[in-house]
Amino acid sequence: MSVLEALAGILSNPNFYFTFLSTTVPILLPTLGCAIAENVGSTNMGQEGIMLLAAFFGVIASAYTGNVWVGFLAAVAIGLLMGLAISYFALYLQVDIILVGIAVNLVGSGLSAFLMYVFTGDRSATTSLQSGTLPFIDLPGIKEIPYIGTALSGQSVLAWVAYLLVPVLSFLLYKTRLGLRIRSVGENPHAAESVGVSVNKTKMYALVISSVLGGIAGAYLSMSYLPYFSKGMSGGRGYIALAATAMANNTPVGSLWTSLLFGFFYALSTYSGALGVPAQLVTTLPYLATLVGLVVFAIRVQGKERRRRQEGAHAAAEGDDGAARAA
Amino acid sequence: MSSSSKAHVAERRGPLEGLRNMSVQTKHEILRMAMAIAIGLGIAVVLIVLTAENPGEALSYFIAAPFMQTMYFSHMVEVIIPLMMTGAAVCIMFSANQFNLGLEGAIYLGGFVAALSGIYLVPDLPVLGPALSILLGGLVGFFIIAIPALLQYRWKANIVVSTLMMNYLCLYVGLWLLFDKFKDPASSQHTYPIGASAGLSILVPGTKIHSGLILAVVIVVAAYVLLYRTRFGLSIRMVGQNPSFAKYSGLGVSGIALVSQLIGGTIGGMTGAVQMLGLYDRFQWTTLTGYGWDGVTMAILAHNNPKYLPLAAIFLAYFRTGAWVMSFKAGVQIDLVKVFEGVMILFIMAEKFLSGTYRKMVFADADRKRKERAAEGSVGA
Repeated sequence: MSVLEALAGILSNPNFYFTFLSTTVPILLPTLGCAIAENVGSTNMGQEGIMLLAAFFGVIASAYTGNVWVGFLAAVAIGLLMGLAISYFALYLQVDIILVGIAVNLVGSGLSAFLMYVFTGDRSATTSLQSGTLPFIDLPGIKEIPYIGTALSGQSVLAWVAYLLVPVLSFLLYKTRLGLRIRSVGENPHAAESVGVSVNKTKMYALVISSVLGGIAGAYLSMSYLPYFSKGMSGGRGYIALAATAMANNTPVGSLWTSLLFGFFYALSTYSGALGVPAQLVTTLPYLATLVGLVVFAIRVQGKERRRRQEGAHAAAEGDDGAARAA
Repeated sequence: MSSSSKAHVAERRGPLEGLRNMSVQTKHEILRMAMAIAIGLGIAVVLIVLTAENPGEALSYFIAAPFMQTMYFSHMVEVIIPLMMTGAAVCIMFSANQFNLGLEGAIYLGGFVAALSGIYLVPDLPVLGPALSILLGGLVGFFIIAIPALLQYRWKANIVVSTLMMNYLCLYVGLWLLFDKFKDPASSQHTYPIGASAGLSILVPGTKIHSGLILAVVIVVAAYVLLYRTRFGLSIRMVGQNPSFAKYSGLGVSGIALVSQLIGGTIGGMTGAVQMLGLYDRFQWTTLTGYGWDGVTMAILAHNNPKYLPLAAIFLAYFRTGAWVMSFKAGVQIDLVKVFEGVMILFIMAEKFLSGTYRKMVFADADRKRKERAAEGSVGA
């Protein structure tokens, strides 16, 4: 009972919602990225490495130029470069995409830690650098509204970018030519190819968008969430993103909900002292939720497949339609 | 006539004969592996030269550290032990084409349970005590991997995602047990000490090389025998290479996939136990160990064949020892080896890497064979 009371106390604290919204951001961005990649039929497991490299180079660029926006651009550029590199290895040299992800994570965590020592002489965090943070946005009118004002006002500019990207990416995926191509390549590459869609080029676009989102997440981690880079600061969020994407059925709006779920538990674990439950156990909740979510999702997919097999001919005809529209 | 053909045979019986008779494919694989290693090492060397204060000294440690001191050599052997064990585990799972990435969790909790067994269950029982602790670790690994493997078996839940989640689940459950239940109040993050006889015995006096090495060798041999000398191993590889063919030849594909993962998980748990009992006197891991990811690198280097694991382990351990020595002798961060390993994985697994060379090699080989046939033909005629 006391746990429930404590929980009610936390949930009625407006500051909790501010934490909740900001812990969701570095999960939402890579999740959206993974969702785009999954839509084209590729699993981008390298978000972890991309975030680390982007976070690191963002801080370095910001500290050495004295301009945080240069840092932000550096992080985005790293995302872009990593997206191109992943495409090169996965599409042109035909390395299994999961293994590309594992290699990118190795290189990302290794290179960021290695170069941190080279540039700063620090082994764990770049606290000696003055790298600054991206602006936090105060909302003058809304700030005074209880709860909503406390939660929304003062969030990083990148938090707003992240949440606005949800409708933007929905539009991209479902309302534009590129989005249609991305989905048709993911659904049936041969059909897409046969109507003149370049499979590799489409996959490359999707992987680059995906990795740039990882780059922005890195910038958020080291220039908003914390004001410095620390070793391994992505903390498994790239893997959580894979799980959140799978649970969200690869849609941007679904990704928002699953990211909020993870963000909620992350925020809750920072308040675990008040909860009277060990922080480590609270931290396990999102992972447990994912396992359950995965099973629910898999059962649904199995049911869908069974139905599709039953109306096989009909579904095949529809698939052709989709590919034809993509061209 | 006969003398010239004899001369021809004699000419072919040189030291190069083995190389000559190798299939083009094998030759190309070796070339590709060598190039991948060269690129990885090249990048590492460039990074060292660009960043070290004394590049020559740093490079000498990177290239030759294991031969410089007994302690460094001992460190290399210590590193080889978990590499071989997790390598064997991943070889078995990857042979069945199961991208199970859950070893990290199995290793973490396997090590934890082995430590608890050494503290509370068998602190004073030599030989049998450690053996029991390692078995318990293996059992823990078995049950941890059983969760995602069964979710996949029953509902086709995505194994990559579920195993990654299991890793964090294991870590945080372990941390909770450590900090809330089993912590020595006098320390910040340690359990009580593991019993004096519960650890693994030292194999070579004067070093830290422990008897886990024997177990590692046994496991690698067993994994090879299982995969390449038994009927079940054949089915595992068949499921991995061509699941639909395996299905039509009457194999229970998902059952075999399940069992391969359970074996891998058991070895994973044992690896954690061996590391814990071999190298530590108290449980003190507060992050995942990374040995599970090492297993993936090892399986890639060994092409999923346990036969090549010892070679791959020596190779990786050699340069890791170099990087380790470099980190405290020459101020070069040890994380450099991760870059080296990641780059190697990319090029080793690149199917189209050097594919132009492969075509040329095939043509050259065909040309050579045609000429030989023509020569023999003209001789015969």
